Amino acid sequence: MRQISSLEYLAMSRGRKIWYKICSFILDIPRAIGKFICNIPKAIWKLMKRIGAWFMGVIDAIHYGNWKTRMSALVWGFGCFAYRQIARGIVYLAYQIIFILYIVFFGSTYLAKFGTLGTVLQERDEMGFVIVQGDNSFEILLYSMLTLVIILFTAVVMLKSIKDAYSNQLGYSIAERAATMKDDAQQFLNHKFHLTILALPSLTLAVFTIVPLLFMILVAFTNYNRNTLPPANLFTWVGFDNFASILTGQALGGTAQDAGKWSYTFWHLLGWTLEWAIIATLSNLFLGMILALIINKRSIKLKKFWRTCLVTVIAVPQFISLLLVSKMFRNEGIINTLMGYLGVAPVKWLNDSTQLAKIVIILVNIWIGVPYTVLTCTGILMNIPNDLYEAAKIDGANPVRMFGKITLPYMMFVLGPSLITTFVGNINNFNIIFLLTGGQSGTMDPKLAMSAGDVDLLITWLYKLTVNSSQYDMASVLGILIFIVVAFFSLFVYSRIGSVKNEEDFQ
Amino acid sequence: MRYFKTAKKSPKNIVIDSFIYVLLTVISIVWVFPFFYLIVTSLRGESTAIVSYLFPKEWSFKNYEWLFTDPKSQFINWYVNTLLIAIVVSVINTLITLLTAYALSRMRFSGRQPLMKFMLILGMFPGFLGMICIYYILNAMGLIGTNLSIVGLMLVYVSGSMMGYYVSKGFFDTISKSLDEAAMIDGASRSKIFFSIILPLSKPIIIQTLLGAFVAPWGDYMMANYIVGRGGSEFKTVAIGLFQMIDSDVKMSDNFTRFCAGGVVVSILPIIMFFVMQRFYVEGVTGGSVKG
Repeated sequence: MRQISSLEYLAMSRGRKIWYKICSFILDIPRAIGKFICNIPKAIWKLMKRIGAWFMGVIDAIHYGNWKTRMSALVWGFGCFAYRQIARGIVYLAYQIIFILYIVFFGSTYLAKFGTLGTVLQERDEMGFVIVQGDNSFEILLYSMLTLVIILFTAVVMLKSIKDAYSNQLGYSIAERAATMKDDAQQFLNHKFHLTILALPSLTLAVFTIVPLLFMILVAFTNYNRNTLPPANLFTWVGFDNFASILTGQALGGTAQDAGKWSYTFWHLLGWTLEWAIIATLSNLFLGMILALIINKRSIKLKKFWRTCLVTVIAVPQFISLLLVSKMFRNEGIINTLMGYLGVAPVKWLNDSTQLAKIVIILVNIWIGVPYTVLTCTGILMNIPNDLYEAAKIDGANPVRMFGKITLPYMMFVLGPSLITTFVGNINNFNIIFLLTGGQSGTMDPKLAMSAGDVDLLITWLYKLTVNSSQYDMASVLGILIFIVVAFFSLFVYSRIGSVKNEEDFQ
Repeated sequence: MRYFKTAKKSPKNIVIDSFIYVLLTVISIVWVFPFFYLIVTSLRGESTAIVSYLFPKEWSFKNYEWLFTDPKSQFINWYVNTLLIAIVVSVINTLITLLTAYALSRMRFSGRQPLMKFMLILGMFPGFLGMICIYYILNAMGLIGTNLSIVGLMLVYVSGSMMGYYVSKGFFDTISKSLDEAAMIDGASRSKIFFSIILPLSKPIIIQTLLGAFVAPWGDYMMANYIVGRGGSEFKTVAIGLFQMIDSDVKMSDNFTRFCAGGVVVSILPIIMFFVMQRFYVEGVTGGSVKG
């Protein structure tokens, strides 16, 4: 589209202005995507530079430090002992000893088998008793990954110990005393309060979120599925085979069976997932906004009553309302009964055609989701300062104009950033699909692979692959692909919304 | 919304308003009907299966009696389990979320931006993905299939709470920094500022976080099913227990009205909490974002 000057833009009629805005937004998308992709190497380069600077600090410390500082590269905490920081020194030293013991007696045995994930098969006699214990691929993968993480963490601690020693040396030469134990303790409640706060949550996050995620990412490159379950069997690395068969339908190493089915299912379900997420998000947003505006219209009485009717849905636990609704839509359920009272023939809502099931799912989602939007919008409407409306009235604006220029922009400003959260939440909306339909409507589609149903989202398919059919390798690949989809949408939108960047605007 | 005040009651306005009233009535009926159906069905005495009429022929409290007194029913166990989980998780979760939000909102330390970005990226992975590994870790800790499995579930719910800092951080960002500075001049430490200045000011967000964390375990099926779903019946949560009560057609005909009764009992506590705290909920949702 031709670039136009602001004077030309102002001269356009209102309809053409809106048209121009829509066109320029759509035409801007490729450029924005390009810019976004170009920014990735830049971000990586920046990260590398920061890490490099940190390392330079260590090199400086060794280069300019005295013998005590250099010694602490070998015996961690030596620098601390030398400057009579006994407690801190003991912590460093104890860490070093535990680390070495861990690597020698535990980590190295697993790490040695990391390349093959085990070679000795478990053997049993005819009674089923285990003769040869064999290698457990699962444990080898988990513990060697854990060891790698620990080694990385330890490297950071070691370099930190050298830097500490150097800063002690510098501090000593200025003040003739290094920071004492008491200073340290004070620091942890004051300037280093963030470390105190974040330590424990970070630990649980690492154990129950980061380590499992890293593990599963590695599993995506193995053939860990129901045919290779440890400890009876071994699984091994297969490279990008799983990705190839799920994305292109071509089996590379011949490990994944029915590769064509996998890729058909993936693209099929991806399409429905995106379609669902877009419709669900937009329908909830617009219907909720309209309903909130109607309820908050000045001449409407009983506002609280109407709101309470809607909001009951939020208060009742979702699994109850969803399970109940799924039973109501059964063939012999209450919806068909009520329709019978009105003289309408019963309809097979959820187990006849895919299209009808999808429509029912979206309607139920409106029922579940709209009250949230109404609640939020009501709060926003109450928060809009009245002086804006008074000023507009003095300037002679009519209600329609006030709505377009004050109410709507205000609502969109607050709801805009939450839109992407809702969108991502909908991509991963397990409850509504699983509890309402179990992911399956009507007859099985023979082209779909491995326990997938025709109204499954990617997340419910992931769940079924893990729980029902033990296809852990494919489940991991699917998880990574879901991440890529979500990350693409989120980062793209985040990079275009100003309120994320200007986080200190309201401080 | 003062600008509507001047609108005069012209015939046109009356027509619009009555149309709106009709619309709102229909919408309210649609929205409330399932819960009406839930209550009515839970009071049905003549059959426990799903039936093709609305009102029971025999009103009774049989289903409730069965849930609470029948030896085959584990409902009380499920309820106590879920209540325990909800209380512990909501307290710990709120504490962690608020502390993290405070650190990220008020303190400027190296690694703050990367940490926030890291958590943002971490949150984009589907939470269920790591489940096999979590199961293994919990199993190694002896928290699967025993009466400690509730603790395992608590750990899983609590572990990710650091990533929910976003809304609270937005709220803390709106509290003026000059309060902190004044306190610091008077010699208060960071921890003192948090506990005696920031916390008392953030009642809406505390209550919203508490409420959110309290309600979540009542409705979670995905995680809970993997950890406690296959163990003994007495270790389950209400969501798993009630789901498994009606997960096949045979069970449906035995248990549907009982499920409805259970649903009513389970809903009571969240509903009371929600309506008591609704005011704070609205304030919390909007308070963190923009103030005019």
